[in-house]
Amino acid sequence: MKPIVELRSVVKEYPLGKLTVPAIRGVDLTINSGEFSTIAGPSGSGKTTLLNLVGCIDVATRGNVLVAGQDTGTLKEKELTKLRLFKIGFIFQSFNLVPVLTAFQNVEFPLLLQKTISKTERRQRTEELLEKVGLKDHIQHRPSELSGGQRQRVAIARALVTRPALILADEPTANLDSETGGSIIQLMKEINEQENTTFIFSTHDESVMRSATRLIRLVDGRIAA
Amino acid sequence: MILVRIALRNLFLHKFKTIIVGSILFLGTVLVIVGGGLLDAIDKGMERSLVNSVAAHIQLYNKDAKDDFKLFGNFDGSMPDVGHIKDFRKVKEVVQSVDNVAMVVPMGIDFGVTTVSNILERKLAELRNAYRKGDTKRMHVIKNHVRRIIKLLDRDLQNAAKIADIERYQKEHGDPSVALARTRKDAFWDNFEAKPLDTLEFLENEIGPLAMTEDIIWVRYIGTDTELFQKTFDRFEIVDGQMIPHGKRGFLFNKRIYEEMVKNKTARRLDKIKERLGEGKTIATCEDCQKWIRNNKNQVASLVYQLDETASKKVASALRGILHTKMTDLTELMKMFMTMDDEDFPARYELFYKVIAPNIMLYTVAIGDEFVLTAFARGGGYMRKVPMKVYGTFRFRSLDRSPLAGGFNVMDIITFRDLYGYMTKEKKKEQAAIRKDVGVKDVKPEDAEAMFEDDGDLVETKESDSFDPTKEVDLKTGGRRYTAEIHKQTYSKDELWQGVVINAAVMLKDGSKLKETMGIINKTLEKNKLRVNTMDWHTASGTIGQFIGVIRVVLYGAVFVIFVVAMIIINNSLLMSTMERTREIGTMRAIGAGRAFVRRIFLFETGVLALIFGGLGAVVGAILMLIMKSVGIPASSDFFYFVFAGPRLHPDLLPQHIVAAVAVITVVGFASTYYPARLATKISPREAMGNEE
Repeated sequence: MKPIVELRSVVKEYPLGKLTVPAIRGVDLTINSGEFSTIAGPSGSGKTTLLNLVGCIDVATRGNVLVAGQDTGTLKEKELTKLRLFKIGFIFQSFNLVPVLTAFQNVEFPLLLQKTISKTERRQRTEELLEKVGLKDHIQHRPSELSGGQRQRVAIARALVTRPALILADEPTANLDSETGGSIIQLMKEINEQENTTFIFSTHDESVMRSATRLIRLVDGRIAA
Repeated sequence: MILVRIALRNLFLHKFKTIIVGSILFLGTVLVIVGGGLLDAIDKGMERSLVNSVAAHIQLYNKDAKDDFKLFGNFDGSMPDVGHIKDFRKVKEVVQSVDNVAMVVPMGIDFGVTTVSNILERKLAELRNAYRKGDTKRMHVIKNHVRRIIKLLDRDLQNAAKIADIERYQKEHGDPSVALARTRKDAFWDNFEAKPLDTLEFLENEIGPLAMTEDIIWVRYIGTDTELFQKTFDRFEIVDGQMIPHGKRGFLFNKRIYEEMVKNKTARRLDKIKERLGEGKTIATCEDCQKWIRNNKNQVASLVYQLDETASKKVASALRGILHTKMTDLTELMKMFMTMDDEDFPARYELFYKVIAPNIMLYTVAIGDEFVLTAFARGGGYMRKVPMKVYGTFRFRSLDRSPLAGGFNVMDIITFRDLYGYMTKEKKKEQAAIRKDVGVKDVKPEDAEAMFEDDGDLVETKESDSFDPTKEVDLKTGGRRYTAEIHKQTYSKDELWQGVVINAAVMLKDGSKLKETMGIINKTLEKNKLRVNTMDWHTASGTIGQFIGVIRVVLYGAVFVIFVVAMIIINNSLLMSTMERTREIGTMRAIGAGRAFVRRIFLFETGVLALIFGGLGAVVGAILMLIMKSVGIPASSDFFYFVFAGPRLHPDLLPQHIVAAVAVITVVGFASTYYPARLATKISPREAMGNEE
């Protein structure tokens, strides 16, 4: 198995006034492609920071973060953006859809940014994905017209549409009731199995952790054994 | 395109904000297009008004002049000292050789005054004339009229302070009632046959000043080659009388000034009331009209004095008829008659012109008459008096209601030179001969004052009838022969052109090439070593010409303020929406949108806003302009008559104003978006993470 993410002695500190607050205090971690892993831990343990580093949203203070073979510390802002666009899909706790766009437009959005595929293919892929997440009848609905679960399904479709190697989900079920959350995890699991897409998601929901193939526990910025 | 979609959706989502910002942009665009169009139309209107009435395209004047040339004079009404062009013909030849030049017209602008003597003085002058001619019949009629006036004067003596400068009179002549009492006696008039000249002198000196003071009329005139002037300025047209005949001396009153200053005051006031009524006003609501009626009522004496025995009877009977009264006193009748209201005004106005006007001097200087014009000669500061023959009145077509361009009267250039006091070599020689003859010493202006102080002998006493143009001569009597002679003389073009002018007006064939042609003229003048300056009509017309510039500044100021406000509001609302959309933008950044994309979102939003509302503004502005073009904007006052060059302004829709509006909108849009867009690009993708709630 090929590693998709490698973290080597990663430290991330944030400045807070005159102090520096360490969020990640030396993490070594390898995640292979096809894994369905969970990062768990209490709040403040560094879950989101770790996801940010893996997702090329943030850069490590010390140590190396390799995503899809590229050391993010050596990349420029534009290259990081490109890496996010082509290699990573994001699912957020608050869904983060663009409110003025329809479900279809939200899903299509990353493809428009990529500018690599034709309009017909874009359309085909978008509709296919929306069908897959069970929103065939809600293609032209705006986020405000959808329920929480439906919104998160749109977000999943958006994350998948570019066929990324890695999908990062930041507490994807935190804003959903347990039943809906369960079905969302189920959906992600299916995709993981069918497409062999790597999933990393942070959570403190026990049922979510149970469905993961690998559990990474974070305590105070370190991986607990 | 996703960006347009996002922009449109965002604008639609914030309807209220969009409408406010949009309205400002809309208003700004309309203002730029309509304002710009109107200004250009006014500019063109003023150009037509000024260029085709007196200014022409370019004015020429002495390069070594002390002051800058000003066609309409200084603020205080005086004329700037611009010296003069010595030989107009040479300048004309040189300038005329330039391709685009159509005409070069000689000009001299100056002020003069003429005094209009009161009715008694005028009647006494007539009496003297009749006596000189030995016309006893006429003498009898006038004598009776004079006695009538004296009778009225005596009765009105309690009001004398109002009608004459009684204080001054008392200082100089003593108690006026004594002189009046003397002249009322038959014995005084019986004496007339025996000693007519003595009697006349007493009347002229002691009684004349009592009957209303003299009226001074200020006359601003252009001396020019009148024929060439008429040919060059197509707005010029004769209203009454005729054009000054070819090569002759003569004077044309500006119709407006003629009505305003020369016409009998009562008649003029009645005309003005009629004008107001024509505009839809009523006497009951028009304060000016009521004031004019009061004036007319208080000044009936000026009319009554003018009526002789027969006329008085005729007028009195007509007044009794219309007033349904048996009153006999003419003054009282007249007072009653002049107390008009809305109901009786039309009938009384008609009666005034039918019965009263033919018996009075409706104009103190009638067409065909002569009057004496007095001006300060520029050379030495002494007074010059010249008799002027009035051939008619003129107006500048469609500008006659405007006092600005309508402020000039026109006279021949020869008389102008006489008044200006510049001597040609021949004239100097001729004058020297006369001086020798009459014994006048040449006095330099700077010595003149000293001379008066020590009572020096400026004039050696020597009886002579020779006319001396440098001396202050009363032409009312002594100048008659001189007058008759100069008015017979015909001057050739050579004589008109050869000599001094103050300035010259250059009319171009193609006015749009003004700048280039001015350059060529300057070069040509220089090459010919002529010390002559050029000035375009804008500058030459001074404050009036620069008026448009002032309005332009005001309009641009207003546009600027509107757009600054727009910029602040747009900037502010975009900043707000940046903050509101932090998470959204962070998300976009996280899923792979670059900074440029974020910036474009904002630019598109402003762009779409500007396009929609600016476009709407441009369309509405253009429609407004087209409506105004076909309907025309009516000139509401004399001032606008001048500015519009006529009763209505028909502005053109010009593409450059639309371009300007689009450019302004674009600049405003981008300037106001720059900062919020920059802030937005700095939003970190981290903002997407975490919980919204």
